[in-house]
Amino acid sequence: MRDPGRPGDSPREILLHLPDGQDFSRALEALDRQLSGADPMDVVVDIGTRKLSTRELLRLEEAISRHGSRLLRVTESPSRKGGSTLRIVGSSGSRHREVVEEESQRPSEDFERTLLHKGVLRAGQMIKYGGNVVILGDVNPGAEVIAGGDVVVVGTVRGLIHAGARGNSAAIVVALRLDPVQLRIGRHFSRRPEDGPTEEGGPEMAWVQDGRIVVEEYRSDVRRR
Amino acid sequence: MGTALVVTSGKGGVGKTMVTANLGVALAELGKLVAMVDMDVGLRNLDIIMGLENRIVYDLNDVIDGQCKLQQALIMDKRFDNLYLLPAAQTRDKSSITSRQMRELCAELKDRFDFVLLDCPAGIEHGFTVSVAGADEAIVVTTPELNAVRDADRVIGLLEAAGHRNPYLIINRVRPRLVRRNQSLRVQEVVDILAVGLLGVIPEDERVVASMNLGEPVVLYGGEVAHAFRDIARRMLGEEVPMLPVEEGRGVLGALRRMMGIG
Ligand SMILES: Nc1ncnc2c1ncn2[C@@H]1O[C@H](COP(=O)(O)OP(=O)(O)OP(=O)(O)O)[C@@H](O)[C@H]1O
Ligand SMILES: [Mg+2]
Repeated sequence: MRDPGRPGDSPREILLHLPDGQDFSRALEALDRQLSGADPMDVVVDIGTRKLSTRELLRLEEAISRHGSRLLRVTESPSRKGGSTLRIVGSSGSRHREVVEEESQRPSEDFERTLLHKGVLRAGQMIKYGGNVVILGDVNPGAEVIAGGDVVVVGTVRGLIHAGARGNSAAIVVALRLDPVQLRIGRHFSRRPEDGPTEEGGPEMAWVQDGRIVVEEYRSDVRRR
Repeated sequence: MGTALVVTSGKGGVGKTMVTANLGVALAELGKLVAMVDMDVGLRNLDIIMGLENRIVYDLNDVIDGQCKLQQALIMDKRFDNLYLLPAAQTRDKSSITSRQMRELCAELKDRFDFVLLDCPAGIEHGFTVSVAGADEAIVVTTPELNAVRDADRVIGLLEAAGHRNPYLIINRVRPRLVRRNQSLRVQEVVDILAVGLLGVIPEDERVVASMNLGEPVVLYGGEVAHAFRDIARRMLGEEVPMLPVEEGRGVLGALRRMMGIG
């Protein structure tokens, strides 16, 4: 899935590889050499099939920012087969974003899949998933959830949610409290749910009705379509 | 074995250095052995706030580079013989310290001190990463403004990713009058968004600026800000100290407004 609405701004982008089968520190040294003396750039790092720990991600970022460049994105080579892989994608600079991204290799099954995230989704963090997403915690201002299916937030939504991101307008968003900067369902979007957050109280649900996003009190008997 | 805490914020100018200095003094007043480390290479000002700039001979980078012993670079405070400052280099390549060197330095400091306070530079670049690497715990400072809170949130996310699961929160420059007029976020709103433990709330006070210029931490002046810092220091030592009702406006009017839901 591609980032929607992310402008292709920034200076120069460069793709660097961390070769498979090479010790992480070694690979990092090589990358360090490649960057030394170069102008500041937006760096995309291809990590092949390796998995990065958070610590390694921070080291990677440190190595890149040392040269005045910034880590824009971490990608994998598509050689990995089947299943879905959880990965952390990060970039630094003034608009730092740490992204928790999950992408399935088999889109046809996405709809049945659900990703559970425990904890607050904070500014600069993003979850992107082909299936449904459940978050046990708040979605804060500056955080984004982009799901192919439904989004359920057991907490307050203050950030951006995009349900049915592949054009499925039947997707729904359920949250204990909906106060998002922006809500998108399928191709529809609203700055703030037009009906506004309901009075303090029960959970709320947003879905598309007659071509616009409406928010109502959640009722367990509400069925889609 | 002491504890190293990084004082950080994301957004610049919200009061990290002010917090570091006054927390250092408040902990020292309670008899703790405290070291403050200025991590803001090139923009050092902790020494100025403490009124110690004229005593600097060696700095953090000299210690790291092996130019001097740690002991030689540590400056004893004028007022407390259990409070020390390790100053930042004035001019140096900002990225010359590695995370590993920082961890080693902090280990050495923790051997000798009860508390090591790391005054982090603004932003989330190299200086932040290195400061966080040396710390056992983190204190996030914010002001009650949306953009400061958002940067604090981002920093908390990064701290969590680096293994700091439960950072502490200090809300600085709270102005009760603005809160009452709904022109500033409430303490509770900030805590709701950031969802971390509140260590203390510090009111806005003109004397902070004056004290910083005079090189005398404001804790030594007494008053509400001093009270807030002394409470924070006691909380850090494990005491249960209730939060001061800084922003609520104790008056009848405030209570009435709250009851009517317009406060
Ligand atoms: N509670 C307060 N009341 C009034 N002024 C304050 C308060 N706290 C901080 N200030 C003022 O805000 C300014 C910035 O404070 P300080 O230098 O501690 O911030 P900082 O976060 O360390 O900044 P930097 O990111 O540049 O390191 C100072 O001029 C200080 O006097
Ligand atoms: Mg400072």
